[in-house]
Amino acid sequence: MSAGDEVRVFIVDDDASVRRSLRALLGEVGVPAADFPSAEALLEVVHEDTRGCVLLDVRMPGMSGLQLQEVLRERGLKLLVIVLTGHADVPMAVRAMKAGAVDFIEKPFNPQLLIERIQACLDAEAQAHARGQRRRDAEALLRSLSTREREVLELLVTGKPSKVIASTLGISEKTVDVHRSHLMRKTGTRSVAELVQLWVVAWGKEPGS
Amino acid sequence: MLSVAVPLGLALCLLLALPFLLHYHLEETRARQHALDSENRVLELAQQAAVQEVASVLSDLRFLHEQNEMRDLLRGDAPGARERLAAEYLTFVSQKPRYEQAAVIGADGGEVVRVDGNDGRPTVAGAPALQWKGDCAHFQETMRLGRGEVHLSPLDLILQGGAVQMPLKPVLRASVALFGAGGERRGVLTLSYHGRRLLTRLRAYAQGGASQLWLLNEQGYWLAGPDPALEWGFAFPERSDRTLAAREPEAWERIRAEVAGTVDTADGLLTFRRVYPLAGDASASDAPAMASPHRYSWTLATLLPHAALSKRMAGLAGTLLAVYGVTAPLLFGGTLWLTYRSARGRARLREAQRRERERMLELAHANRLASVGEMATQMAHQVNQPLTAIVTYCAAAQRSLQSGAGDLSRVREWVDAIGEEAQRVSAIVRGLREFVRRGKMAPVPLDLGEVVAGVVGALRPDADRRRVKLGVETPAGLPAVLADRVLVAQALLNLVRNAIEAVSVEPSERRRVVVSLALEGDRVVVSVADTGPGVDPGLAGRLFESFVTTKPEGLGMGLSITRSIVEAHGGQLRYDPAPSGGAVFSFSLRRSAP
Repeated sequence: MSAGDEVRVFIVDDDASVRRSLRALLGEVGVPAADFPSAEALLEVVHEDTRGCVLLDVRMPGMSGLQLQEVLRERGLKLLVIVLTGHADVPMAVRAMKAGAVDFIEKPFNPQLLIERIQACLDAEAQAHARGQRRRDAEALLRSLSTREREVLELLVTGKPSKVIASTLGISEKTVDVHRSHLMRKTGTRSVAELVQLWVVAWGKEPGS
Repeated sequence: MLSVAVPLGLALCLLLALPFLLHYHLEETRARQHALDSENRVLELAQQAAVQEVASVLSDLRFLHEQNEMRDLLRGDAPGARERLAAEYLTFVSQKPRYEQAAVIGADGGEVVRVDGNDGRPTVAGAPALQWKGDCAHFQETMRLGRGEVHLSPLDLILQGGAVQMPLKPVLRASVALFGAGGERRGVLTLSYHGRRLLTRLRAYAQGGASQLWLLNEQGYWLAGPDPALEWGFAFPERSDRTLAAREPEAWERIRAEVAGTVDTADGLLTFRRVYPLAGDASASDAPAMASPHRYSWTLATLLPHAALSKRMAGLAGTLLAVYGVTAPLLFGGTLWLTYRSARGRARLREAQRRERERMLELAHANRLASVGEMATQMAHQVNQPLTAIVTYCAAAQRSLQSGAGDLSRVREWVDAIGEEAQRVSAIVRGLREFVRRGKMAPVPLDLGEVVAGVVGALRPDADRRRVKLGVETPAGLPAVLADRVLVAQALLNLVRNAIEAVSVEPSERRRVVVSLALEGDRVVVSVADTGPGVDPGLAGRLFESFVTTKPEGLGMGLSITRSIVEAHGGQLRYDPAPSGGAVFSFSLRRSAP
């Protein structure tokens, strides 16, 4: 299992004491963690498949927390970010959340609360990861269909009857039925309703929209 | 203060004495000259009197010599010529009491005619009273003279029976030789003049003055002297050493060598003048054969006692001393007073400087208190980091202990870390307390790089918020400077904050402030450069004054306080326009001794 597959907490803070204490706490809780003294150090390690959650101090020399968030988004990384800040004023919170942070915690924090937030974040990450997995699976199923099957499917999920599909595609009703049974067997669905659900998971949108 | 004032006052008093001494000296010289003039006047009158007196004696002698009765006698053929001559002389001596005697001595030395003055009752000496004068000096010498020549005897005392006649009778004998028709010497005509009369007349000139008048003969014997016992030394064997020559050899030397002069003696100022009695003889020119008048001389002298001179000066000395006695204490007192005043003035100046420094410290303190709000954000962040670490370590330790299976060595490590973090918090709080404390200036060896880092750290949140790039350029190996940590930090804080505010009006890509340090000789120069609009040249001159500000809400105290702090450290706050626009504020601090 590569490092990118393990779910971890990435601690980014210029203060070594804060980093070490967080490592100690997370170790005690049983959450795998890694720590980095700067945003640049983190960016050297993470990649598209890296899973986990970033505990980010917004105020650091060099690249700031907000700038790091931008870079992560540009690179399409799916890491979730919890912003830690010493001066939790409203404009700072707004900027952090706008930049895509899932949470915002003021230093010094209640450790219990921090752990809960981290757990919540990891749960959300896991869900997002699972959601992504399902979408990728559905997409793979749909991509395995032939061109004609896909044309039939697109019309099926919009609720068109076989007669309309046949006339639309310029084929016989019987041929439409054959295609339907093939694609349902390939996708493992037993009804049009299941087909619609698979479509939504794969493409993330209602058919016909 | 007194240690300066007293010697100074004494020195000034001594200086003041100089003009007094000079004045006294000039006065003394003048008084001495005055006295000399006066003495010389007395001597001149006395000289004239002596010469006149002798001249009149000679005149009388010639008159008697040319008388008809004398011619008759010399012709020798006229009977009763001797009696007629005696009668004539009797009348003459009666008319002229200045003469003691008028006598004609024959060629054999025997008196032919003699009339004695006899103290105002002149008598003709009868034949038995006539004496033989052949052994007398004046007779013998006159017998050797030519026709018309006059012999003048020394001023001498009359002897009687080989002894000096008492009371003393000074006498001056003027004689002329008598010649017969055939040119043969027939005898001598002698007029004896009362010396007392001459001496009295001479002494009269010195009367009323402080000095004595002396008359000395050629041997240095007093004829008129300081004391009757010293006079006529040559006439008394026991007085033969009573001469001026013996008493004052040096003075006598001068008198012999010079015709007139002045000499200082132990008794006083001796002024002298040689007198030639025969020089006044009116007929001398008619008698070329007469002996040289300069062969015969007296010396006239006056002695002005020192006491007389110093008595004259004593009055002046008294006056001068009185004036000096009044002015010197005034001068001395004035010096003390002025010294005291200037010492007070200096003390007041020091007091004013001390107050100015106190005011600066006071203002600086107020300025720091005003900065505390700004510092709070930075403080919060600084304190938050260790606090965060502390609570996190605590939670980890609690969990480890609760689980029961905790690794105690790890927990111990965390507790140690908690202690360290608490120390960090403590140091930060101490720093703040120091920053706001009110206190005296306490210069210590200081690492300016550290101060710059602290100030830049404190202002970075503000700079970030304003999107100002805040840079630091500090070369390695700079020496420490001697300065008060808090005050220097404050001065720098004011400059950097001003710079951040100044660049905030520029477009964000131009907002840059650089704090740099550099070593220049034995000083470290701190400069704060910004890329702002710079300072209006019209304002640049008054920039460091109080209440001068370009900010709508500024009090105008920041630069003034910064300047005060820098000057209190012996430095100077400078403003220079940056070459690329913007402003550079700088000051320098002396490095501490290595």
